[in-house]
Amino acid sequence: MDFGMIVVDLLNGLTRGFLYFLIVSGLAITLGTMGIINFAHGSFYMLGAYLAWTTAMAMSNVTGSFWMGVIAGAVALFGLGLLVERWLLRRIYAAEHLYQLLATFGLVLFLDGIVLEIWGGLPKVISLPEYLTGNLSVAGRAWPVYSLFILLFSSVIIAGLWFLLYRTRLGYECRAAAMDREMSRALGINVTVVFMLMFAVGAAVAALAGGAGTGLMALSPGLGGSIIILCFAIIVIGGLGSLGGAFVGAILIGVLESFSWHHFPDSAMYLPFAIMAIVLLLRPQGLFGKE
Amino acid sequence: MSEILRTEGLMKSFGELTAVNNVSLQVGKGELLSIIGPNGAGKTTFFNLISRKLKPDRGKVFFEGEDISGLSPHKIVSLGITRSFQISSYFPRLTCFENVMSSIITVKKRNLRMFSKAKDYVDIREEVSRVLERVGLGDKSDQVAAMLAHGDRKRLDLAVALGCHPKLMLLDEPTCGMSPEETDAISKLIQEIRDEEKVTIVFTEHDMRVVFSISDRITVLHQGEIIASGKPDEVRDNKDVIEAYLGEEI
Amino acid sequence: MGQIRWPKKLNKVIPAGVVAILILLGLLLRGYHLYLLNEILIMAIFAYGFSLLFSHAGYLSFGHAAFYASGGYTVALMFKHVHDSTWLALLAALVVTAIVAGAIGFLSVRLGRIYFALLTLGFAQMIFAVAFRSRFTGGDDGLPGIPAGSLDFGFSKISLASPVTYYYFTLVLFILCVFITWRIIHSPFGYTLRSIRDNPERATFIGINVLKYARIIFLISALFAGLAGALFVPLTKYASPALAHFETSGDPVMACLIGGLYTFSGPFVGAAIYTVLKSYLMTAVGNYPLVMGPILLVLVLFLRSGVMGFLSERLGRSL
Repeated sequence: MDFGMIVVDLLNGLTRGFLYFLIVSGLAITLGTMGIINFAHGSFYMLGAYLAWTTAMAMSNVTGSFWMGVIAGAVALFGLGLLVERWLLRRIYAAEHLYQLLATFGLVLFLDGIVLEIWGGLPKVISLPEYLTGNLSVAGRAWPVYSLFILLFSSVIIAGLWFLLYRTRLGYECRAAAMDREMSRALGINVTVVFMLMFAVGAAVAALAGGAGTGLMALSPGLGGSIIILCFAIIVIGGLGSLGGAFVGAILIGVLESFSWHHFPDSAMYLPFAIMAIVLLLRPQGLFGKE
Repeated sequence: MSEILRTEGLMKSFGELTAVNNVSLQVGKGELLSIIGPNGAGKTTFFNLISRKLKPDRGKVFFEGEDISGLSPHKIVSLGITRSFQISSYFPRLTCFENVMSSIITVKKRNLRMFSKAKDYVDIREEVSRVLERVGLGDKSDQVAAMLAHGDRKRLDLAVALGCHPKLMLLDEPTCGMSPEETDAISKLIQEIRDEEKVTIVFTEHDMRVVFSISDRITVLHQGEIIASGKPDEVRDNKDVIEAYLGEEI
Repeated sequence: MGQIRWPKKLNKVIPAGVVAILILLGLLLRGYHLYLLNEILIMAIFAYGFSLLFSHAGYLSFGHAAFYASGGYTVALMFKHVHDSTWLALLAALVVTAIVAGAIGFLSVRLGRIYFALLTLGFAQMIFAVAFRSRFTGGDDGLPGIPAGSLDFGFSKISLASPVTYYYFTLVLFILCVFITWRIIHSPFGYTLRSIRDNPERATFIGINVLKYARIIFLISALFAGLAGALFVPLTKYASPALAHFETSGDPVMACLIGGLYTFSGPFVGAAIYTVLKSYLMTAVGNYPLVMGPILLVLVLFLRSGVMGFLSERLGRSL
């Protein structure tokens, strides 16, 4: 048994898992708080990545251009999130779930179209700053510095999200609204504003993941579609109501993907869904879902 | 009188709250039994346990002598127990006729017939009309259920339950939100159903006039436990009952 | 809203009229127009299947492309490796679709309707991955050069190679599917489904085993999709992973939405409009999603009842 390989695979798996969770977190929060499944969440991730790429390219002779790109993407998507919530989601809260799904799907098509229009269909490659290239030596094996960066970056953002949800007023109001919308309103919580802000936060976090994670995933217009489907699988595995479940699901998929890459390189396409099917057979409500 | 329903030690808790606590009772065939108690006494939860909308933590339910504790809800219906709901439950986009027709189709086990026209079956049509007449919705047969007034929705809920040819009906607050005239009408209807359709009826109620005028027996729940059970006169004078309902007119 | 009177006789006349027009068009149209009409009929079959599952049982599937692809690839493989008999290929396509749908349906309905949409999406992705990667299905190149097949009656053999012949063959199957849909909708089973759609809990408490009937209608709906795919492949002479793509799953949804989710003619009218629209958008406007997205948004937000739904309201009759 190649111990070094296992360690590296595990680290890569954790890295992927953390990144996946970062992406899913916004979707899970939207689902838990507002009860809406936002199909377009993957497109937010993709748009954030493209914006980061463009910004970094435009400012490529400035130091820190990579970071500017990431932040630019997050800020733009925060704004987009506010707009989407205000002008689209608000109209469909009261509608049947079908129409919510269809409406957000329409948004997906539109955003995919915009990406196609502005950036074209050819995949883009991001150029990482110097200090993020190269490899570390872990257990006698090479492990990319970039992966460590993703791991740390994701952890920081996840910690920030946790802080937002559990230590700030907005987070408190969000959790209250998730539990009981009417009661929260009665207690004076401005649910409308909470929804708008939290949705925008979710979009921004997805964009952060997109901006930072571009080195890990090729940038193409189909990215949004494949990401959202992965997100759905993670949420189903973790259980619809549970953020912690989504975390476990994300790590699980990340690690399994990482290990299976050696032996079954093609499996990445359907591994999440195979896991989903197995979990559903054994425990239909997901790992941490309510019965 | 032979026994149609028996519960033994039914218990259900939701976290810290014990909604139904060791409830054992019997219902005789053809009885009109009412279950009363202050809000939160556990009446609806009790119905949910019998109809298997919820799984009991402990205890058993026997129907016509058979243990039905482990069966799925739709199976329990096919054995002969139906219910109505506190908030009327029916099929909003179907007409009243079609609402009841769903029950009749199901009780006649014709759900899988895919190539015949449902409305061509004379026996089904006649049975649906009969049930609608019985509950007083005969003239609203073609009205879409979502358009019904509150009182008629409650009647439809009853009709849908009755369409299953039940032996036992559990009615959850059948006169909830009704005017005095409608309440009287529904009271009479419940009696008619018991007398003429030969159905045993257990119902929960807050309106004491109804309870004391039509019940054969009354069971009183308080904080999930039975505190009294017996004929209306016995229950009326029961000290514990009066205390539980402190301040309320009986 | 003004209502226009509608003579009852038209109920029989209109379907007959539509069939007559479709027969006539087969004689008049050629080339790309005939191809488009053929595509419309296939899309309509796909859409009717979807409407049985969604409009009548209330289950929204985002993964029907899985069955479209099952049917399509089976026919392709049958023609390539076994025999060019269309009967056999279609039968095989239906069997394979049934197996796939049986498995997916069994798993997907257990958790209620929201999960159902997500699950069907996920499973369709798995099928797409298999189609995309597997050598057996030609990988991402697919299987080109699929013949049109032939109807082997034993005593005579009718080649379906001519577009006109193939069109009439599709037309017959289309009429059959519409007929089957009509019968199911008006049957006791149809009412059982609509009860499930309107109030699954109440349905349970009148004795309906919701999961069982959901699985059954899922299977039927999938078979429609499989048939549609099985007809599409010989038409285009090509089986590609696009058959299983997520966007293909969206086709019947769009068609029904445009035509009218809760009218009988909705799937057909919607299929016609959607197919023509899509064809135009793809050739005239390069960026199809950019235009389709807002169209979908407008439909969902403002025109929920679709074309036929709107007309139904005006005319006071269900179309």
